Amino acid sequence: MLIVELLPIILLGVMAGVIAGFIPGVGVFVSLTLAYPWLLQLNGIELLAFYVALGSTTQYIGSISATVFAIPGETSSLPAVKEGHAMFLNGQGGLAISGAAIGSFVGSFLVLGVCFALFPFLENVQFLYNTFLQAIILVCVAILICVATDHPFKSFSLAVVGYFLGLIGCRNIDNQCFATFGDHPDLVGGLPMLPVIIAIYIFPKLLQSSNFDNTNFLDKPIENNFFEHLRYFLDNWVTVVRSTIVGFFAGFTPGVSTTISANLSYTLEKFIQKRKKLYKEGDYRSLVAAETANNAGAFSCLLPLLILGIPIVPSEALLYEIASAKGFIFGETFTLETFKLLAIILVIVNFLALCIAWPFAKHVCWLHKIPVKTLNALIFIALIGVVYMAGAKFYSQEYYLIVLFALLPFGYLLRKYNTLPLIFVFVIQTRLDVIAIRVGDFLQ
Amino acid sequence: MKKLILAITMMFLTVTAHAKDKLYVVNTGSTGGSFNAIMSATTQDLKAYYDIEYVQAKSCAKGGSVVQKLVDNGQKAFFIWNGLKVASAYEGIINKNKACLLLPSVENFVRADLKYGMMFTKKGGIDASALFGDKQLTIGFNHTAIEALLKGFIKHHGLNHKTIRYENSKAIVMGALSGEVDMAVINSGSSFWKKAKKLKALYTFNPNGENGVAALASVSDAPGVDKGQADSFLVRGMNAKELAKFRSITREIFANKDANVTKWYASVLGYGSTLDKSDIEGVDMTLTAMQNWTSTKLK
Repeated sequence: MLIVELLPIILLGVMAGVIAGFIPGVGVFVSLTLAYPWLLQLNGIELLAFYVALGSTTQYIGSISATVFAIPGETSSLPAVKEGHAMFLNGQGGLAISGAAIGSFVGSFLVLGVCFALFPFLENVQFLYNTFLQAIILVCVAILICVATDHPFKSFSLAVVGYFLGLIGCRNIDNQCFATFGDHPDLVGGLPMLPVIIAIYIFPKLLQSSNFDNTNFLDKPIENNFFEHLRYFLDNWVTVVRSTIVGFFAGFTPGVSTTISANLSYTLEKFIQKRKKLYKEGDYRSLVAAETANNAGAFSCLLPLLILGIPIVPSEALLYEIASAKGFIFGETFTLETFKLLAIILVIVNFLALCIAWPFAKHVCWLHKIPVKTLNALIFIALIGVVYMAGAKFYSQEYYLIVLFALLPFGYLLRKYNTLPLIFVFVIQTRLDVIAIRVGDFLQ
Repeated sequence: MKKLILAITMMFLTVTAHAKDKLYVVNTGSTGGSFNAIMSATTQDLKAYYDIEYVQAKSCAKGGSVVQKLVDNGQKAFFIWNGLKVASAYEGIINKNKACLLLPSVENFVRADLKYGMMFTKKGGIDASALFGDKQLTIGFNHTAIEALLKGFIKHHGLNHKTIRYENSKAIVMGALSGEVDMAVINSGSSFWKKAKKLKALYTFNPNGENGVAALASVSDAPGVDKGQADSFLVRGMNAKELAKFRSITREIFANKDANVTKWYASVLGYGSTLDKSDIEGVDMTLTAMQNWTSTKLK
């Protein structure tokens, strides 16, 4: 299939990615579900082109809403909320957005280049799916995220709270239920991610930043010039290469692929900067590390689907099923030609996404004319609406709102703490349990 | 003025006359699984007949609760119902939420998918005979009900194999492909058939064999090696006439080769159906398959 024929699909994917990245809770999976009737009209390659365009663009745009509004479009944007939003409040929003965008761009291309060079060996990707290896990765990342904070003991305590919040519900793997109070239908499915993240992570961030007077800042610590920003980015090339490698391998983690990529790389970079005594909140290198790894992971998590035909995140599973219905079976038709076509699609998508993300970097300074308190109040009201809409999709709008409002007081109490360890462990809790149970089975 | 009112009234009556009935389609499976794929495809086909609202419910407890709420509000609901989970709920293996204990009957039954479990390994993996050998094997499985069956099988033949839990069929296929487990058992053959080029079938639980794969029952007399399963497609909130119309629409959709759901089923192997049976026969076949997995008398 000619790339020209795919261009309209790619453009639609990019447009959908812009919307999905900007609105929290939408993300790739919800976008695919909404587009389902239309997707059924596409063939396998067109589906892949749309998915790649949607997924990649979401990563770019997600970091913009995370930086400016402290809203993570996806859980992989959590580091961008911490570092990017702090940079925004310090008048470096443009630099944060450009760093994230260029990082995403470079991360994608480095991974693409490596995969191209290693194409004959890619089939061995299946050997990364070893339970013990995955256990080591997950535990190490969780420990690293706690250790890399100013108060490791408090962070560990918060991580334990996150684990128990994630434990609520019934586990599929062994059907054990925790705190479901007589198997309450909503609690059986666990606490929904969106209201928990908003109450425990975003709400404290909004409270913290509300005391800032941002209206005096000028967004010019560095000239808002593309080449200036690029030069600043390239000064940190070691961070970029390191986070690409980390993000690429962490991206193979099933279920939590880009979340692990971004958070592991971010934590590692923060740890390094702290040891060099260079770190303070709003750290450019840590932000770039997270965003570069994020896109590297977004590509690597696609490889098991393409090569083995096994989806490792829910959105891929949906894509797989739609493609199956069209008679296109992933993993059976993956050739060097398909890879080359995918590479061209990625080049186009990343270029388009960068072109969209970049103007935000130039114009973000205008947002400083709005007082942070007003902006945060508007964001919070919008988030309540988003929670309601996300809940409605599962016929659980009341439950979503109850969880949000029940956890908000805790968010208020935790406003002076870094709640990332809590949220991170909450997000990966199911995966942690699955791996722990399986390790137990192997060792029995 | 009178003409205007008449025109508006006529328009209103025309619109109401052509307005489709509202139907809620509820997916009670995970968002990334085959239940969602089947229900999403069916939704597209049903749009020609109904005004559809699609709801993700993720579990029988939540799904049952959503359906109950809809019925209480006078709505009609169409949903997929995992037979193995219902039987497991009766057995107390999974949560015994009342909502899960719903059985198919002629008052709610539309159709059912009939399927059998499968034993497989990776391409170039162990031979089928190794299953009965002295060497300890690691066997992956993805459902608590299958674990009980597998442990019974191991005990029955005096084997020394180790069972390893996986969270879903995709994870177990990955476990087999990577060689992490020597072989795997899944509750539905469809996941195997999708990856048939990279995997090697050992046995099927279908007592008649399946697509050239030998029946486990042909080499083992252990209890349960010929157990089938059934996933039902049920409705609530419809009267007998509405249900009859819905069944007729379903048959019409399945008769169409270009329907989304027909295409989906055509892309996978390992599914049987009750569509060519009468409603009473369909319900009976479904209950018989569910009865395989519970000691509670279902019919």
